[in-house]
Amino acid sequence: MSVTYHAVGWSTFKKRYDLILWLGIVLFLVVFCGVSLFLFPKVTLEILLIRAFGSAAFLLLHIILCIGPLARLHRHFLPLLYNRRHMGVSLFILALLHGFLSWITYHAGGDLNPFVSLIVSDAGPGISRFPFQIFGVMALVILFLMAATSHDFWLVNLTAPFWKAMHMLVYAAYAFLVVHVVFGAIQAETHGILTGLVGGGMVVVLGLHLVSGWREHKPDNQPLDSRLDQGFIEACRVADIPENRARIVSIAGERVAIFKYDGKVCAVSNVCQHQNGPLGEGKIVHGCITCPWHGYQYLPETGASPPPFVEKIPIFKVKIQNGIVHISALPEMPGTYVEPASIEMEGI
Amino acid sequence: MIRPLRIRHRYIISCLTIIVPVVAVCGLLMRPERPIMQAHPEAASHHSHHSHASGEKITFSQLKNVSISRVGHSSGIHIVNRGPLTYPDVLLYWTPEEPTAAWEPTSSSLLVGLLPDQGGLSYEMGPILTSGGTWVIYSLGHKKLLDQSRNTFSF
Repeated sequence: MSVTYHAVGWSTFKKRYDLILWLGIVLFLVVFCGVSLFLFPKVTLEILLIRAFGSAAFLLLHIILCIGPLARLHRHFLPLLYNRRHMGVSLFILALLHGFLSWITYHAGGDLNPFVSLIVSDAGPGISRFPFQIFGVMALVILFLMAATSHDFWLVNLTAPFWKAMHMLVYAAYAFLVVHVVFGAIQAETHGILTGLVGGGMVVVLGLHLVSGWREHKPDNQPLDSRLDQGFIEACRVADIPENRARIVSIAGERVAIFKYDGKVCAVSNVCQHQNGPLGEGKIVHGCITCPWHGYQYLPETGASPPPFVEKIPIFKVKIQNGIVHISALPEMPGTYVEPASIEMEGI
Repeated sequence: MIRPLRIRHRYIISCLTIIVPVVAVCGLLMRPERPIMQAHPEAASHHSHHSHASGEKITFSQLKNVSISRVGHSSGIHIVNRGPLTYPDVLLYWTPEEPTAAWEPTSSSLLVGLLPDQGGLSYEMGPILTSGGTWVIYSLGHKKLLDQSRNTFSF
């Protein structure tokens, strides 16, 4: 969290995260090249690198896509979420290396303009007679867009909802890359292991999204009218909220994070203003609600970030009756002071 | 995420769950029946070729330095050239037809790979190895058929 823009908001955690990330990438590339040279000793250097970078990028995309639903299913995966943007930029670098080497190797040595060759070469009797390379290019363009706009400058100026919607193009990139791999590499490499790995990756990515989505679908679709009582809605038991943490409830599809701290209960929108991260999965740090994704902080009484920060989130009125937390169905304006409900006054 | 984005996210995942597996299955079904040529790992070296050779060998009438032998009883071949090549971009094809002097690669012909320049190379052929046809040595640079020989490898 910062009032000014930095190229990279380095912290000890992020440096350690990136170190592990790139050590993992280098280790994968070394092992991949070693195994490939053992199995195919006549493989040329450029083909080896094309395969290594392409495989690393495709694997990293799977990991990135799994982090979101995994973090939804269990909070132990949340640390992976904090620096996912660095992972995305690393993915783009690997994909770019794969694409550039492929372009030079297969399209730069002929009579045709290399750009024209890239577009028309799949029309002939190639690997699959299907334009699989174009799908790779389209995925690369999306990954470039995402990497180029991963900076907070774009996040603020494009606004979080638009930025988030734009970054959902990653799913289109995933679909394009499945087409690229299935109609490209898998047409030539008919070994069952490669097909199994691609199919397994598909099952894991889509399966995790479906499971996490299914778990959240039911509470998101509960009707509001049946639960309303004088403008308030029964949310949860005080005892169900961990100390300095939150319980997330859904009101007409929008999520509210109910925090318990210092003998008090407050309720705020679950959506962080920074990147729409789930505030209810964060915790109270130094008296502030802290987003689990990038550490953006809000005061629990107002929903406003402590000065000099200017972010504000909607806040809800709260009351406790017989150990049950009730919250107002409609939020107050962001930044409005709302007295937290005292647990002691209710005699709990 | 805010509700509109969560709804959009849900639709995207629902569509992907249908589209991606269908695309993958289509890709697998569209795989060409003929094998894609690749180096034969068991016969990658000259030594292993000799130790696994089945004795079946195909020679050519013009390019007498070139021979194709079968690797053991597998579907791999080892092609050897013991003399210098005097044509550019010399390739080995298999074709089901009987080529004429003006032959050029067709959609039914199969590019096996490079003819090595004074050395040996191994290729995995798959079931096509025992399906008759003709081996063609073709100069891509001159677009000229250099030599041909019937495929006589037995089952």
